[in-house]
Amino acid sequence: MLDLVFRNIANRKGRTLLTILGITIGVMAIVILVAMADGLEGEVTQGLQRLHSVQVFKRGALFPENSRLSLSDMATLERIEGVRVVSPRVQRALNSVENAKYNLGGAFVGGEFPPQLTGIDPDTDSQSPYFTANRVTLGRGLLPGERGSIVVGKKVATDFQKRVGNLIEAEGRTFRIVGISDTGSDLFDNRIVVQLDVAQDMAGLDRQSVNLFLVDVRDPSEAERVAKRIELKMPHLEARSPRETTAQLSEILSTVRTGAFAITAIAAIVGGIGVANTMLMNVLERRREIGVLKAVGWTNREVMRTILTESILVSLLGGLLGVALGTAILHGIHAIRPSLAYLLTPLLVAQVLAFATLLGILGGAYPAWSTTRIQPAEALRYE
Amino acid sequence: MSDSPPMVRARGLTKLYRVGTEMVHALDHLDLEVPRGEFLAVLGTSGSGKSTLLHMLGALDHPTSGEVWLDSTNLAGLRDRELSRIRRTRIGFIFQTFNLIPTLTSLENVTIPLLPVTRNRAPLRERGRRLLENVGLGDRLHHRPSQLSGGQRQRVAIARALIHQPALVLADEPTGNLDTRTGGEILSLIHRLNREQGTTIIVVSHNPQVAQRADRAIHLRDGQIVRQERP
Repeated sequence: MLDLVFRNIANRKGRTLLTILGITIGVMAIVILVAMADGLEGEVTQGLQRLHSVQVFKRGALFPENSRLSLSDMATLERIEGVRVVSPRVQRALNSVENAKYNLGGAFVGGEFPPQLTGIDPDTDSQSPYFTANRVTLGRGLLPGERGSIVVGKKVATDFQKRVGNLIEAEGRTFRIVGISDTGSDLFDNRIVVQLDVAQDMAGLDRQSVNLFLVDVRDPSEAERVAKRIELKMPHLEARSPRETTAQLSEILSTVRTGAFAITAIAAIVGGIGVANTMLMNVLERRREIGVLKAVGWTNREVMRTILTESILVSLLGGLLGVALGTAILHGIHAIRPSLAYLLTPLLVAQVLAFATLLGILGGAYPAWSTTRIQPAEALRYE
Repeated sequence: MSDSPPMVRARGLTKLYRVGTEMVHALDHLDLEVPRGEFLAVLGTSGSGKSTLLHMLGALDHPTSGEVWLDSTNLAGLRDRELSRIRRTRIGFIFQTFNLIPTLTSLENVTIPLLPVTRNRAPLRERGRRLLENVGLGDRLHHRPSQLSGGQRQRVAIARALIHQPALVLADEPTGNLDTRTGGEILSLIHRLNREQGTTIIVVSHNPQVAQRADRAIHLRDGQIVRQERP
């Protein structure tokens, strides 16, 4: 029966191609946006796996910028059971580097994420292997009191083509690069690391204020318990264990993914309506042919199966084409802008093809059902 | 022959159509028996109810009232699926306008009734090929209807009607769209089928040639049998 279906499809090439195109565009949009959301999620999750320390913010702060803590809290933190080292941090997004302007809002609509300003205290920072800001793979780390020096993450060095010994400008200040850090994740390597007091000046903070504390725990498996203890003893703080931070970000990213799927699915559903329209037209045109098939003994179910198979096949072809085009475009985007990661998993491909099949079933259901109302005798009178 | 039930039996067969605000009797309490192996001609003017009768006997349409028996099966009350099965196994149709599927070849048109219920295609195709050879189209297996003459198309339609070896063949004006000579050839083919294989044939026509070949001819007017004759 499949040969009959192929014959019907091939017989109306122009119309079929346009219908396929409707599905193709929708599926292509899903593939591109969801693969990019997955890529972002993959990158973030991979980066977060490197987190070993508890992050302490001011309660309710959404971004480090909104969190202002007093250095006097450090001593209290250090006395909490399970805490090994506490290191203060000033952290916020930079507005400009080497005359390139950034804004965080722009990053969410496809622009570059701004590099992060990270102010550290080299003394406390060197006491834990998990504090990575000042761990360099080229050059050396910041020394206590060095105000004109800077360590840059590998992504910043690459983006601005800087090497150890070069000067770099950030928000109107010029620094000499003494080292380059490479954690292996663009998420963490998109930063410049300066002395705590320099960062305080740049962020407009006084000497007693910082944005957050990194807390290294004695036993990593105890991280969550230590975080609870901190919050119990210092209720104005919020302590996030690595697992909590990961969970929180994953939730945000999975919402982004769902959103991307939902928006692009609308385009695909419009394609599905196109399938329904085409199939309905086909059924109307083939009314007589369907009557003949019934007259020679085809059951309603057999006729319906042919119509449904045809509509599923058209949708599936559209889906396959959408996946192919989407993949090609993702490759293209990645070639032009390597920093935009994407992740095209077999699961996503299976999901969109299943979705295309579903559209085929839904789009073909009414046209297929409508054939059951064609009476053979009535259709044969159409002469 | 008297022991077995007739091939076709209709009792009080009535079909009403609505035309505007009026109800029209296409068939009006018609009774008919067709013995096994008979060649019956149904004659009458246009609008006399011939085609409607054929559709009722062929399980293509439901009567408004009355009953049709095919062999020992009462068609009344059968579901669409069961009627389809009866059409596919026991009845062959031949239509005035051939009703071939334009996108399919002769061979595909002939085999299409059994396509959904056949797993092994090769024997089906072989049978289709032999039937086309029997109607003189052995060299037209892969032609589309548009590449065939009217007479050739009707031969394809006859082959299609015979693909499942039906006990009953119903033909609706099979020569209506053909010239006299070609019409004669088609009639001979149908006649041969009746004589050689004992297939029961009912032909609806207003072609007097048909009545001459038939065992019996009935004349319809206003949905009723007004006369019958044995040529």
